[in-house]
Amino acid sequence: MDPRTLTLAAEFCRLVQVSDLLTYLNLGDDASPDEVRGRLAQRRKQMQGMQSNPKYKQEALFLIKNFAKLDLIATSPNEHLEDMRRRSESTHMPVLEMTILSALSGGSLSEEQEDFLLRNALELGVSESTFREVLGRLARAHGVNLPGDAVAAEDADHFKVLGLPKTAHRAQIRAAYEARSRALQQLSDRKKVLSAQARIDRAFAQLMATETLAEEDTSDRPTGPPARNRVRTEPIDQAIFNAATMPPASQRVAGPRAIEQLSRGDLGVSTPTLVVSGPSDYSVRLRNRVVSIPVEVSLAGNRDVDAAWVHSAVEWIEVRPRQLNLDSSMQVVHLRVLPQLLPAELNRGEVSFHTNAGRAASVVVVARRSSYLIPALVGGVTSLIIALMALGWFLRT
Amino acid sequence: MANDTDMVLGIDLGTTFSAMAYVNRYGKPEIIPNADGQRTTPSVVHFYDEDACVVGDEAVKMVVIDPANVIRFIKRHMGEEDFTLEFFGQNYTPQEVSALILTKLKQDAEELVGYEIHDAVITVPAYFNSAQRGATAEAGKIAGLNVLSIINEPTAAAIAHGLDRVGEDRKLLVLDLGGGTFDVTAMEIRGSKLVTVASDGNAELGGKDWDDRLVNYVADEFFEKFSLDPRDEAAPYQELYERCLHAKISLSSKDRAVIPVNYKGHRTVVKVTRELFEELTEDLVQQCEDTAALVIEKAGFSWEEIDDLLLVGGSTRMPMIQRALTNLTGKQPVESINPDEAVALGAALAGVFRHRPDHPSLKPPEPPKPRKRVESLPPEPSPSTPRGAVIGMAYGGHVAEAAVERSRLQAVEIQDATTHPLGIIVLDRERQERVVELIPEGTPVPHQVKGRFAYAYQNMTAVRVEVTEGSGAYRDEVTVIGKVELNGLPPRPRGTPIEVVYAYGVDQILEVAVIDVETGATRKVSLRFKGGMNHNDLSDASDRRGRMHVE
Repeated sequence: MDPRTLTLAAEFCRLVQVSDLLTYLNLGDDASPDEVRGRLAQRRKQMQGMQSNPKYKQEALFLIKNFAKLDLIATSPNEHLEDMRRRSESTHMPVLEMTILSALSGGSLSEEQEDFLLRNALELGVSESTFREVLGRLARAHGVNLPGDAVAAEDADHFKVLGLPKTAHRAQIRAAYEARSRALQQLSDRKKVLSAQARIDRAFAQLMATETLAEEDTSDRPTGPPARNRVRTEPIDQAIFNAATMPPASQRVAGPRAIEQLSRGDLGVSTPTLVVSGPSDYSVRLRNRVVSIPVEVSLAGNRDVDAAWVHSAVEWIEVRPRQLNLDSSMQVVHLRVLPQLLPAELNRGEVSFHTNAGRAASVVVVARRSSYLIPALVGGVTSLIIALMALGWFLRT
Repeated sequence: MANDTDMVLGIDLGTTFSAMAYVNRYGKPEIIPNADGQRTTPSVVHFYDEDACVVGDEAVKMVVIDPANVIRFIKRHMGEEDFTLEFFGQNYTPQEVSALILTKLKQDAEELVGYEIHDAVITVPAYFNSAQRGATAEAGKIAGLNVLSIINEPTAAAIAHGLDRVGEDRKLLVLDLGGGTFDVTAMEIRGSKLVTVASDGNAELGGKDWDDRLVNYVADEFFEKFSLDPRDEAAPYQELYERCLHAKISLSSKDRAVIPVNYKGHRTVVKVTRELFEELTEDLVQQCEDTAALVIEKAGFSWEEIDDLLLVGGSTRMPMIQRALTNLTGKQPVESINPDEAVALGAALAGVFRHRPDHPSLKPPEPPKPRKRVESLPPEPSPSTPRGAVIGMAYGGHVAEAAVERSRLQAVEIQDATTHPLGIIVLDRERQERVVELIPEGTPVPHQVKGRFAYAYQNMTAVRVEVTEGSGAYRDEVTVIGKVELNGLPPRPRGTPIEVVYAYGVDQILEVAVIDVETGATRKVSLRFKGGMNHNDLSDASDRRGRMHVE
């Protein structure tokens, strides 16, 4: 269904202050489309007589003017119900995220905490599946292990953690494991490195223990011990970094995965005119330097696009350039995160890409302010130690 | 034409009441009463079957009994897109419903005069935009009328009033507060020319809003007592509305009124004083005052310069309106005009001036026939008061034939002005969309303007012109009232000139021409507004209307 039609139905529900159209028509969620349409036509007829009634005027006029579209909604009420559920969830999402984040700030999550959060979420009207999704996402982003993590690991996840296709054989798995371990040693945050290492250890162990791995193709190799294949895995991708740590954003690489953002927008056209490459969520951690996130945008040669621009919803993200050049098809837009304008420790901002036909795509940036405290402490302690050692050396001579 | 069979019907199609008039061969505009003998007909339609409906007082009686099939205030939705009503399985646009009202008027007029009527002039509020005007013209077409002109209501009222002032230069302020619309127009009479200088208003402010305030007040009082709201059900609401309407009317002449309410077995009586009513509607009156002040400013007049203040529309009978305007202008409003009938009378006169140059009353008078002096003949008015005779003609007083032969109807030239600016959407240097105004507000019509633009991209073979109405610099601040496409061109390099011509006619309906300067390829379009019906739909609607039995 056209997202605009769904939005219209949502507007109507908001106008008359009901949770969804079926409730408005006094029908249960299991009503058939014919029933819904019949009731809707009845209601419209009733409202025709109420058009001039000051109390019901807005409702009556909305219903009469948009009857055709609401009738369309009535032909597939389940889509509408699903959409309304998602909308109500998204209004509660910030609250849910805040509660989860405050629980995760302790660094770990116990089962009781998880249960408590789940109950909270259900009270807010968020479904369990959405809750788990959000919890998983936030936990991964902040490197916190969920209580269920250690146990629930499918084979597919193991392959993904090591960045391998499912058809990888033992030698490739071993090579990937070693490559990743080496890569992890380069990183600085010990705690995160340990948890990431544990994760790839687990994955490696599970995969090695699996009986049904693919067989190595040795047909074209000369006799002798199999060579160690240097496996070309994907460049270090999200999976490992979500589990491990977040490197400085300047090293962050956006993979060339184009994402269709149209389900988020309200264009309702089938061919995308503006495509944003790369992830739809970015996480940055910054101190006092401006961090620039490059985002690749491509404009398909659609003649209906007369103007395209980028808009930042928050003041702490500066977008350069703001207008997109219609003559070139591929360009890079820099989202500059300005640390001095960050209002809180944890900030979430949206940047949207528009064409004159409507909103085409959006990208979310989560910016976390690093405190000076720990480096300052470390620096202070280190300098104190050095000073004491120097003094000691001095005194000895 | 020497005979009356070429009558032009002047129709005031109002939100709550409609009226019609014609100009007789003596030059006197007369209201044509409907089949019930009423000089005004309520603009209410009741559908009681698939192909039968009732218009007028009988429909109003049914509003309490069958509210879902009665439609009122349809004028408020003229020109609106996607607004369809359903009666007995048939869908009706606002134009079609208005056409039924017009059909009733036409039928009743034909019954009275005894021959078929084809031509009509229909009035609209000055502040109606092109979509609303177009819808009104369509309604006339569906009703089987040849709509000669769409003229502004304040202009029509001024014509009906200004007839006897022809020859002098005067400044008028016309305030039209009808059932659903409000207009203020500043006009000048220059010799035999009636010029609109400035206009403003609100197409959604009218007597109905005063009624609604009263309805809300009474319903709240009822709710406080019984925790029930009579507005929640259609029939009790309509009954309450009717009672409040009567109360409002009686409050114009009396100090207090009582409104009985009966809902779900609970009864009460709510007393309303004129003071309370004025308090409830203070802000509405303020709006009227502010708009009047704005128009005076736009026109460049001052309050002292205004010679005549005209009040048109039944709602101007409310003392609060009269008081407010008298305070503002320092003048008493002109009394001799009947606010309910002036517009229809003026429309009939405008029809004659513009479209019947051969009307018998416009000819020079025949030399007076020699006549025996008989005592019973009324005395001839003395030459020193020729105006007496003309006033008689305009306002329906009894006129002796002799006096009529002495003077004649003097044609008045009408010059209207646009009420909304018209523009075009273009791309500026940075390829951003911008709205460029081609015809500003207050331009006298008819008017033609030519704008020169250039092709924005390389190798364009088609160009699309989007016509906008309203003031604003960006697309979302204005309304796009139509599009014209010129295609099939050879590929044009960027920067080639292209001309766009906007021709705004006396009916304030726009004709757009797009001309490619080099090849001379042209595309002309008479702008069909959004929400308009296409040709097939119109003829279907006409047929359907023809099949309908209208009482």
